[in-house]
Amino acid sequence: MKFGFLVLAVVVALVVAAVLLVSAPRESPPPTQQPPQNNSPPTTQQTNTTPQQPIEVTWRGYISAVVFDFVNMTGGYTEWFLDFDNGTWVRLDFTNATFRLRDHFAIYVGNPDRPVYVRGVWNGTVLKALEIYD
Amino acid sequence: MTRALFVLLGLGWLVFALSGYVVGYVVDYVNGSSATYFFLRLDNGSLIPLVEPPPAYLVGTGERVEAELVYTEEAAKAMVSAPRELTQVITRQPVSGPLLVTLVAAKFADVSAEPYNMSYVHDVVFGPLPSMRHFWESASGGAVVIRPYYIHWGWVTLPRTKAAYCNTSNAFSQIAVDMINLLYSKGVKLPSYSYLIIILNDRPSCFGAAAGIGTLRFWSFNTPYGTIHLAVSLILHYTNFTRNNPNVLVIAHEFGHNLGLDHPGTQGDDVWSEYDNYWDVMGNLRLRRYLNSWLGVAYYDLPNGLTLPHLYFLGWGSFVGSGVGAWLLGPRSGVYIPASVGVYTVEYKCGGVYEQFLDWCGVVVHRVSSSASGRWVYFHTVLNVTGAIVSPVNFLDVGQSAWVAGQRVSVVWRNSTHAKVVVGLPTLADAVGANATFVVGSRAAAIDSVAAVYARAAFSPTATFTLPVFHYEISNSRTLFNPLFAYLDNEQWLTQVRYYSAGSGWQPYPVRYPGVVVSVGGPFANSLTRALNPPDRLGAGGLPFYFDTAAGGIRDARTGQVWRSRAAVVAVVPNGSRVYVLVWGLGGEDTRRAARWLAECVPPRAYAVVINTTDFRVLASWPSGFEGASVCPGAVYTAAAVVGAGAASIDAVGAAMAAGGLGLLDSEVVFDRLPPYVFSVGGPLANSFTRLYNPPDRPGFGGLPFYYSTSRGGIVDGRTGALLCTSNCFVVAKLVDRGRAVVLAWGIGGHDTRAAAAYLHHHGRSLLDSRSNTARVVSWSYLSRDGYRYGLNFTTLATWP
Repeated sequence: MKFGFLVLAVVVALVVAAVLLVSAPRESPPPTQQPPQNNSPPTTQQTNTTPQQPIEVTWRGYISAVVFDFVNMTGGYTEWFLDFDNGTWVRLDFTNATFRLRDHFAIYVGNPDRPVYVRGVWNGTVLKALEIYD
Repeated sequence: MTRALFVLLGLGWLVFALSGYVVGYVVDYVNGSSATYFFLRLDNGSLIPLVEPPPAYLVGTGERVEAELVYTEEAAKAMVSAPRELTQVITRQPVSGPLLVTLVAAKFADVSAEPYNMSYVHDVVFGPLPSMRHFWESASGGAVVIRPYYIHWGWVTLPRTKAAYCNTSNAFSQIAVDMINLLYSKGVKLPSYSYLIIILNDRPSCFGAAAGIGTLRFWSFNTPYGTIHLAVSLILHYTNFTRNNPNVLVIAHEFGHNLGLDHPGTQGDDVWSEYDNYWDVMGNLRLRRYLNSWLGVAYYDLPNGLTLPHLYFLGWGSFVGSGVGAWLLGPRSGVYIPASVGVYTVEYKCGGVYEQFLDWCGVVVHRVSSSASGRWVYFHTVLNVTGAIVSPVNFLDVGQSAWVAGQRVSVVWRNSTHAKVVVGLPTLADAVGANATFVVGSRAAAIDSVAAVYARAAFSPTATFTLPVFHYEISNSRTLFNPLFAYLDNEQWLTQVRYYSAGSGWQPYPVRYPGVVVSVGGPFANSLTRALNPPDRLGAGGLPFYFDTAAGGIRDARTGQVWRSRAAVVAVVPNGSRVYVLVWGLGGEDTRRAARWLAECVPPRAYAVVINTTDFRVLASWPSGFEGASVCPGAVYTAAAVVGAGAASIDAVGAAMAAGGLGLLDSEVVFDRLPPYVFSVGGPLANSFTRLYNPPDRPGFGGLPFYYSTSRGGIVDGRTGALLCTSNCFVVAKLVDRGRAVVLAWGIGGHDTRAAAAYLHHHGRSLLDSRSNTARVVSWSYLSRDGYRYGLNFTTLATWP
């Protein structure tokens, strides 16, 4: 009897969770398929403009990077970009991003075959990523 | 509907998937039976019974495991999932086949200098060793072929000045875009997924102190002929030094970024950590060597090699196994140890095409992070050395051992291409054959020390490199300085001198001379044995066999059993950062028999045994289960070492330097039973066998002219009557007597005698190969630096004939 209640409780919990998940906003069609007006990736020229009012966007592209190696190990740094696979990139800051990737991060970098969605705040020069996912 | 089903299934997995640690306890009942219970302990402390016993190596280790919740008739229980496969934690992005590379030298619009001619530019990129192409083709084992797609023979001029590039939003990509267009104007269309290397004649200020810039794999570029994907390297001219001293390292390093590799330095926040990996091209530690080149002998900055996490990532390396076991590691292979933070890889770097230029051969460890969002390979320090640049000292040479992810990792043997690495506690079976260093008590009887000669037959002596004259800019490379590998327990050992930086210049990091340490003689005769296996209590690591002074015998602490005669202990004891083998018996003859057991019998996969020294039966083993008759195929000895029964220990230590084989006292020699080579160690006053061939105060066997003069206190050349030396010298001789080679090694004092034996080991080949009687008088001294002795130096004073 007790076991029957347990099974029933689990099933109810699963159904409720499923309904919540199906109706969640982030499960709406991929943003690049029906992007809002201000959600369009910038052109190369737009990346050169001065900072604009920050807006939240979700863009699709692949992660690209360039590494600056300093002389005698006195430092160095890596600049990250979201590459739209059309010769256009925006700087990517994922300092505070949450990664939800199926594979190891290294697979995605510089790999046009492994595009990702980046949800973040675009200020006209840098896309501050909040979430990066397949 | 389908979608909802998938969501349901996914959520169900989340609900039923568990993660935690395996713990257990044993209940011992009065009637002698017992029961063991295992649980999955969740992070909140909850204990869930496991439905079946987990793999033993997961119990109580703190290793995070994944488990599934399963329902039984009694209750919900957990079942530990199979360990994740390697491919799930170390990723791969294989690269193979031809890689098309375009090479262009470019001037900024405002800088006219052409610092290199095109032969230079071509050869550092595409030439023979050393070049970028040669490095990556050899590192890949032929998996990739780097093909020049287009080489512009001569400098081209970019359309903008340095300052103009810095005024763009992305100077790096702007240079690349301009170069693509410039090449197109010359009729060159770059293939998609190819590589572009641009050698620049200066460095714009916005690039800071950069020497090179490289993309991590591919970027997309708009071109007049469509969108293409390119990996791009910029090589900056930051110093004229590179004009005569080509920096192949930087070009190979940037190309490594183009292949998808990041920096594999140590974990840390300082500016050096990211690059602190001496063993990989993607570190940035200078490896400078003089090599032949098109401009004569040039002083190259060389790429350092490629470590296993990167080799595996690119599909060029493999793992021979994982976890506990004894592994033979060769080029491009290693083992891995799973851990909650990812995977630790263990590999041996020594004999590769570019590894040959490294200062050291060593086993190195990396951690590959499974949850990275940037760097993902980290050099793992295995020794307690902190500072800015520590990767050059944090490796394991033979005999060294360290904890990695809760496991002992020990190196017991190596040559120029392979190393034997033991993960987990090494057993006697693992240790036999190791590269060894031998230690006997300074006050031990000669018979104890003669045992070391037998022990040496079961091992190979350690002769490894040290680096005493290293300087950051001018390295002397690997060097062998006639090292000793046999010591007294109270002696200062030779050191292996490694160098690291604490941020303020290079510091020596001395390591006791490498090798599995074979400590011969019991706890009363040998202080090293005493430290590891003291009387009346458990030894290091819980070793249960010890000498019980009250009982007057060897006691097994687990059973209380005591053996009071004809017994000996043979044990492998990892302790600190070293592996020791202890060989000792109740008496000197028992010790010699124990060493002979090692030489003639097959050791079991136990950490320690007590043997009967008469019939070699295993009386007790740790762990239990190996008791019984030993398997002893025996041995045919080609050499014997003879030591005076009353000689000092140091004489006998010299015997272990000279030979492995039969260990005999002078009083035991029966000439007709001797093997073909007989090493008589110790002078005519300490060793009666030596005295037969080389008596004091007169020429010896066959006219041997060198003898000890009792009145003059030194070695005299009988041909001239000259006193050759009175200290720090020795005689080595090969005399042919009745079909046997009698090799003498003796000096003024015991340390001179050991030096004579070391000379025979390192330089005795020509002497031993002689078909007629021959001898030398040699003076010797210790090589030392900064107070550390690191080797021996020899000077020949006289020869015969």
